[in-house]
Amino acid sequence: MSETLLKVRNLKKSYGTHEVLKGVSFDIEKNNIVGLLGPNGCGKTSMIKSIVGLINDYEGEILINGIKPGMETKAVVAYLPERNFLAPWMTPQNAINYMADFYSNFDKEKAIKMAETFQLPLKQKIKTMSKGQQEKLQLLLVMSRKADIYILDEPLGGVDLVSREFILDTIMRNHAENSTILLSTHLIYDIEKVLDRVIMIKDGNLVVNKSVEEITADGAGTVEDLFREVFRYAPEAFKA
Amino acid sequence: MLRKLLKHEFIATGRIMGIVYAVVALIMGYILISYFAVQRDEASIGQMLGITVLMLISMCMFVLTAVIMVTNFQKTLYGDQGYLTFTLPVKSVSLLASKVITSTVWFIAAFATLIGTMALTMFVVKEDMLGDNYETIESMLPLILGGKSVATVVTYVLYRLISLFVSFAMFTIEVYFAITIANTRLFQKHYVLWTMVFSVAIIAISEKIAIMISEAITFGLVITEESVGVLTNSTAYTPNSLPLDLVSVIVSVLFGIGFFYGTFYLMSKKVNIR
Repeated sequence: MSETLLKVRNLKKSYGTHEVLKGVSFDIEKNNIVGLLGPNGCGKTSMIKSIVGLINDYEGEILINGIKPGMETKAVVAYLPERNFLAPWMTPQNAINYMADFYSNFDKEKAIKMAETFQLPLKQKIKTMSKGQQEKLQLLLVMSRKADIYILDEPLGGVDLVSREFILDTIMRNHAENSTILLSTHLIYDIEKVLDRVIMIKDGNLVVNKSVEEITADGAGTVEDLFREVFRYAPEAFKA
Repeated sequence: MLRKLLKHEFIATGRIMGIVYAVVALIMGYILISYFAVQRDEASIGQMLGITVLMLISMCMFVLTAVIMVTNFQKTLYGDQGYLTFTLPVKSVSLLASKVITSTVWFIAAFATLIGTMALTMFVVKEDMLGDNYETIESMLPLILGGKSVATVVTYVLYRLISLFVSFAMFTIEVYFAITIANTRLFQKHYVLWTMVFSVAIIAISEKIAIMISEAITFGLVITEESVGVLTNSTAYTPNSLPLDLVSVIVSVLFGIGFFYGTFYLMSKKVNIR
């Protein structure tokens, strides 16, 4: 029987009078790769920030392994934000040491090995690295953790096709066994093949929560087709 | 986890502070070594130059410390680095405590630099730089210390140091509280401006209240020639006694605790990182 890892119930979040999440509910099971899909500004990031504990003034309930977001859940959630979260004066070695100090599930050897594979000089300051190198470093720091859930916010945004393949490959090869991945993106084309389940958010409401098997059953179409139908996007828009 | 947080706080803030203090140590070392190597009546040009640089650094250290602490707090909590800081498996109280402790330690180091520079100046250049003032200072010391036991002098110095360290911590917490209010949704758009407005307002108001309370309630210690007594409204002063007001220190500590938990509450419940 499948176990629920993440439970979200009637999640609401407003910024002033602007309601970005309007009562979203869903469950995510263990050992699943879930795509959190929707156009920019639909509420994906606010939902993710609530799950990882960066937003606390939401309504509704969020439970990770049955616990509200807090110190205990932060230990089992590996989060990759859209932003560069590392201090510019740091080197990859500093960043690896920092993560190893705070996360007991951080595999330092794996991180160093990944840095070598990604050709990231351990002694180079982050501020002197290219944007691509910085993104690789952040990705390796997140994927070097043996987490229960990896929450990746737009990891494919703003990178070229080759880099997108590289990022997806890194995620798929390095996530911990039996872990869950919640991957937020608006670029469906690239991730469709790896997803088990799809959650679509439109204007702060959950509009689709289906397994990929259900979506594609009986030749009903692809995730991309469904996305296009829900959001009425031109196909080029999500291949960009 | 507090220990690890402190370690990384000192690494982050120590990059600049460490360089400045290394320069301070080098100059102090040079002055002392040259003083003992060549005993002369007058200080050399190198020593005078060293003392001048030390004095300039000492004066700048408080401002530099404040700037580094404020920018570090803003960047690591409410800037992009906050995405990492707030997802660490640590208590928010520990996060805040580590920042307050680090800042207070750096302020104490700035104070120690100032005292060290003054002591070195007195020791090395004496009359050269201070002229008649040196003799005046020297002649005043017995008057201040005259007749008092070592224990009472130590008590007095300890009181002064503790109240100074409390004021460093208090200043830090007040500014952190101001930064945190400025980062709530209502003020977030112009957080730099609001940080300045709230800092000035909080420091001024809390100081005013602390003065009012300490004027209304008299409680503390009074140091006489041989002993330390309790200071109350009815305490009889002798010409040589030194009153030490404890009310202002206690009020500062209470305000500090209030601002600390105010910052903690806003940080945990009301601040959304941009």
